[in-house]
Amino acid sequence: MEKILFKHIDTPDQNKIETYMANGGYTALPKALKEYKPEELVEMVKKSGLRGRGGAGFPAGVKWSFLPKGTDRPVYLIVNADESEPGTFKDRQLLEYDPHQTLEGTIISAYAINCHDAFIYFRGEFAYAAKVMERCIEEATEKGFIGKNILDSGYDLNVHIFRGGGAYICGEETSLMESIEGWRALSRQKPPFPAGEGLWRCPTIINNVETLSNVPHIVNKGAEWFASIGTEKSTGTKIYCLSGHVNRPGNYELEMGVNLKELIYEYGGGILDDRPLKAVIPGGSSTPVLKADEIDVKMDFESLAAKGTMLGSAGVIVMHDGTCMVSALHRLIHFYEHESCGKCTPCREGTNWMQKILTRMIRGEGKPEDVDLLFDIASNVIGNTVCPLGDAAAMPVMSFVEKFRDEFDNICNGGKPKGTLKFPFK
Amino acid sequence: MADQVTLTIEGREVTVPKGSTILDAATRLGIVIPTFCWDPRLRSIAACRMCLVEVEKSPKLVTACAAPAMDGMVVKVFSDKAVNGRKAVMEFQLVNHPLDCPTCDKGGECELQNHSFSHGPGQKRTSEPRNRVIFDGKYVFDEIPIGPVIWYNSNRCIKCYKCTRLVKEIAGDADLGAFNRGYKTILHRHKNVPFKSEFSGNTVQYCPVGALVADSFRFKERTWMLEQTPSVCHLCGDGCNTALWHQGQKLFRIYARWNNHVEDGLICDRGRFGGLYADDERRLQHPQIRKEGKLVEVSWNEAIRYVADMLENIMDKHGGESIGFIGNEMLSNEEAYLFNRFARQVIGTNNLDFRFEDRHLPSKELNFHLLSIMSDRVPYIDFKKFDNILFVGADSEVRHPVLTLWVKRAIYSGASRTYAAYHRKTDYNLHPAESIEYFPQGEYNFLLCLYKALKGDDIKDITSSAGVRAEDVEKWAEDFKNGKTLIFAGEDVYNNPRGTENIQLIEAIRDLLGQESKVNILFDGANYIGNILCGATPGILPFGVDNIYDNRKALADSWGAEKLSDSEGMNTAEMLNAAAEGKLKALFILGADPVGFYPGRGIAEKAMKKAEFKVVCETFLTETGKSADVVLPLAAFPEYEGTLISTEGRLQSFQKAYETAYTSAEGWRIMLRIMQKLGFEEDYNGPEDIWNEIGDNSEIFSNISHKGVSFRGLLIDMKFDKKRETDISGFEAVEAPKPPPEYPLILTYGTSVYQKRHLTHYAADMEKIEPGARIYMNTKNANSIDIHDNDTVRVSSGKGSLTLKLTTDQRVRPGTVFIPTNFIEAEFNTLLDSKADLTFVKVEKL
Repeated sequence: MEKILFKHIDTPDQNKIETYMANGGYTALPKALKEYKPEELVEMVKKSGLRGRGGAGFPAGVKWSFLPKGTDRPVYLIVNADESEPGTFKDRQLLEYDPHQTLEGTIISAYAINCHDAFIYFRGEFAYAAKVMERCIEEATEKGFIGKNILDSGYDLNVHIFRGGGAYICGEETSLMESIEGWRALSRQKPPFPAGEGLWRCPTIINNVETLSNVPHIVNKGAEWFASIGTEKSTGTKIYCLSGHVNRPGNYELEMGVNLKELIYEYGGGILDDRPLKAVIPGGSSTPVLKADEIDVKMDFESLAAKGTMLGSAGVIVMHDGTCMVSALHRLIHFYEHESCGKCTPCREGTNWMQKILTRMIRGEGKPEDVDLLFDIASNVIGNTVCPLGDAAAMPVMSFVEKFRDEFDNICNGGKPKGTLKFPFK
Repeated sequence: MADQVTLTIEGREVTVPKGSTILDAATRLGIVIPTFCWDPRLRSIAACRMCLVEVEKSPKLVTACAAPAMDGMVVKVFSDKAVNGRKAVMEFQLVNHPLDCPTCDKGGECELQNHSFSHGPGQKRTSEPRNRVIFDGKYVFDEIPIGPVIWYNSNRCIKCYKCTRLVKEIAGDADLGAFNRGYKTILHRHKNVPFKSEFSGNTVQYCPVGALVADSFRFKERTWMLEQTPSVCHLCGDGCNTALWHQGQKLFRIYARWNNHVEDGLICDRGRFGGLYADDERRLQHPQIRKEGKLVEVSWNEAIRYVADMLENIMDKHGGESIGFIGNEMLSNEEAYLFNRFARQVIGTNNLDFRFEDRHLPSKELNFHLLSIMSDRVPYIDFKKFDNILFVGADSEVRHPVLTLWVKRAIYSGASRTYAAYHRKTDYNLHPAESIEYFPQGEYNFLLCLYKALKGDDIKDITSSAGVRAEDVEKWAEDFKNGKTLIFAGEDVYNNPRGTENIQLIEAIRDLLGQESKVNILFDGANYIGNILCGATPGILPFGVDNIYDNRKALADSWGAEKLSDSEGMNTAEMLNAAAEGKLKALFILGADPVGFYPGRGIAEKAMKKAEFKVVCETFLTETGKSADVVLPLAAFPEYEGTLISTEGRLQSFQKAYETAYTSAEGWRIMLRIMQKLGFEEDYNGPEDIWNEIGDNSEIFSNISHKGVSFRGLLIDMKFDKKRETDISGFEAVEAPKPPPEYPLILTYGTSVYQKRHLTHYAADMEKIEPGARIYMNTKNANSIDIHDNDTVRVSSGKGSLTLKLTTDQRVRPGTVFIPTNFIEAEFNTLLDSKADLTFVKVEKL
């Protein structure tokens, strides 16, 4: 299969505009501006079946069409480059090595939704990527791809860079907007949804870096071409971030619906040290875990949902038999406890409580009833919070406890941890 | 209907306006959904998750406080799923709560307790120690003071963010914020900046738990041991509805009573903490008579007899016209009416006035003019209907904190813009407000500039006389032409040597702006309008009747009196001058302190020295009281009932909380007993009787019974003719004030935000918030004479000098200094010349 997003990722100097253009870049932009009306572009993206790559998998074109028609308020586009889900590292590579691709997608998308101010919100730690993007915006402005009257089409666009302070919650769309507005990044209650009332209470579209990077290719090659790749409902390619106990971790751009087993054993080169597989987290740390016998599954939105988990951001975390699941969960919950924004009660108190229980467990002070309690707390958090961070913390807890109950029971009844890995956390 | 939606809650259908939340709809049905973070005045943030309910077809539980009600929605409040969701939230709330209810001051009125009883799981499942808050690197175990009057216990906090939102969204202050993240989140003040919002007390009242506690109530009493009595705050003219929480004759705290037409549950710290002076032990405890130069305690009978004898003596010798009556603007309508009957009928004089804190008092005609403007006033809740709100001569945030809250709401909702013209910048919090600072007493010149600018005349020649820039005034004029304008004419507009002209100009400006624009007059004092209407000024008889022969005759007939005095009568300024010249022989002073607060201490002291006989009725011993012949202890406001008319023109009643303490007596009772000794034949059992008499005789108050003044009060219709012909064509700008070289600065003075005369000084909290008078000076002026913040300076005028600490303040206009008046010990009025319009001073570093 031909790569789409990663086609030129290894080309030297691809992040410079000359190289990008030499490799066929910025051909979609003039085409979009000259040959299409904004509504036609929305229709095209809708037809392509492009789904959001940030985690929820919401069809991008449909999201765009939710914008209120004929509004007198400005419309904003936000590119969510606050990639901070543990196990996910695709956007960083896109932004550092082929940023113009994302930028071109941003400009086309902004044109499609009639937005004149686009924001790229960088995760605080992505200092280098932000710096590269800053230069790219300068280059594109010089060439007349950004600014007033882009390519004589009469369309104006400013692209702003905004760097976060390094909080996971800023990746959540409403918190991200609060952050841009200058407040504490506390998520907002939805509805109203961003398309109606987002940044500064104006209609706002927010998309993931990978989602927007696909847009130039759809414009160039057509919606039908894009829809022909992947499965029926999950079209296009997907960058899978493979990490954990595999021989060849890294980003793999593959067709949607690649088999997880194939991904791990063929592309990933098998398990580290040839040890038996124990568990796989298929879509970033917040998605429910899969046991070793469940990995014969297509990596697309529907197939994983059928298995009770999610594609998420496709951050595949592989764990071999040396992993203590209690410790692994403890480490995960430590992350969510630390990153909970503190606004709503279940997440603020629940993550902390779960963390306390897990800490007790790995110290060997767990009580038999703690396992059920842990599960119950997680089920009280899930669905009751303002934003998905609470769900993200609860889902791994519930799936870990469900699928590896014996390990939890063992450790709570005075047993030794099964795994050999040591975590440097209390 | 397009703007209505119908939904089903717990099997019952309800129709609500579009945009309502599920919570609104449930409330309409009488279904109680528990909440912590929801407040009708604040934007929903759905943080506490306590109001989770089940909505059919929605996979998750939704928060009732934020979810909009939709057509056809089916809501289940008491389904297992919803109940379990709330139970889960309640459990999470309690995971780290210290559960120190026995020592928590909120115990008994705590929402966490209440919801825990009705929605909690009933048992705990935690075995870990509860988290304790770390702030500034230290563990915080107990309450810590975060402001002069507020204590904070962060461990009890449930993070509803109400305090930060109340302070930010409504008061416009940035005193409180959220710090840290996740379970470590705390709501706190900023480092090293005390929590000093003028509305800080509201955070205590609306904190759902005991995280914020008022210093004055901390560890004092359990809430269920207290009684509540509805009252009305008397410390300014805004008429906030309050509840007095008391036990026996001890007043514990004052809370807002939540009248959503008046204060909407938010009162200022002056009203909340300043009113706690009422049960102070330093109150006057017994009637005192001066015997051999010393005040000696006597019985009430002896005191009353002595006063009556002395007054009768003077009446016989010099006639009733030689006696003056000075009241105060807090007098209730009933007291004011009796005060007026005492003076006019029993003594036979028209020398009576309730104003004593200003020298340039409005004449009879001006008062009628003010009342006629107020007949067409705008109530608080309608401020937001105006595009522009202009304050002229008003220190609105200081004198009218709660009225200003309504203006802030109009601004923050984006409905209105504010313009403030005063002799100094009034308020930082009114952002985004435009501000013009004119010369002290420059209202006349400024209004003339604005009037001419609106007419399109060239104003370049006259703006310098007001000390303003032509382009600023022209811009304002341009703004006012677009949209509806509400003009607030403050106290400095009519308490002014050119008060009459000022009001005429304001009316002319309003007429230029068109029918849609309105004028509101601001009155400082709890019952300014009521005092005028009940006859407590020389020129106006009760119920707003002109003091002319026919009206006097009719009044005398209705009272059964032979004849009322035909003299013009004197106002306070004239009375004090006359007394100082020996023309007035006796003064009856009811709750007033001219020596302490009349602008011109010299003349007030002289008046007290010269007059033969002075009676002072007061709650505390004042400067005036110290030189009186008889001092009678007056009841404090929780100890009597009555009615007041606020600056909004709202008639409201306040109730008696407990019997008079310390053998003091109510104003009406003292007056009545003296009057009866002097031959007055009628008798009243209480203010209600007096009110009935007022109602029987007055057109304005007819058919309003004492108890009939409902929970919300009544906006009275004053029925004064709406239009008065004025001719302002001949108005010319007057010369700008020119300070003499030896005294280069112009002295300005006014009330401070926390104090009300001497009264609030007896409330312990006020002393902590504002520990003493200071002099405020522009940084530029201060630097030019090498004076800095906190330096001790001597301020001197031709009349006297004061030693004060200095605060440099950008708000003060260069070339002027500002001294707050409400500090007895500062004796600001020694500086003032009772003859000149303006006082010039110099400031030297000590």
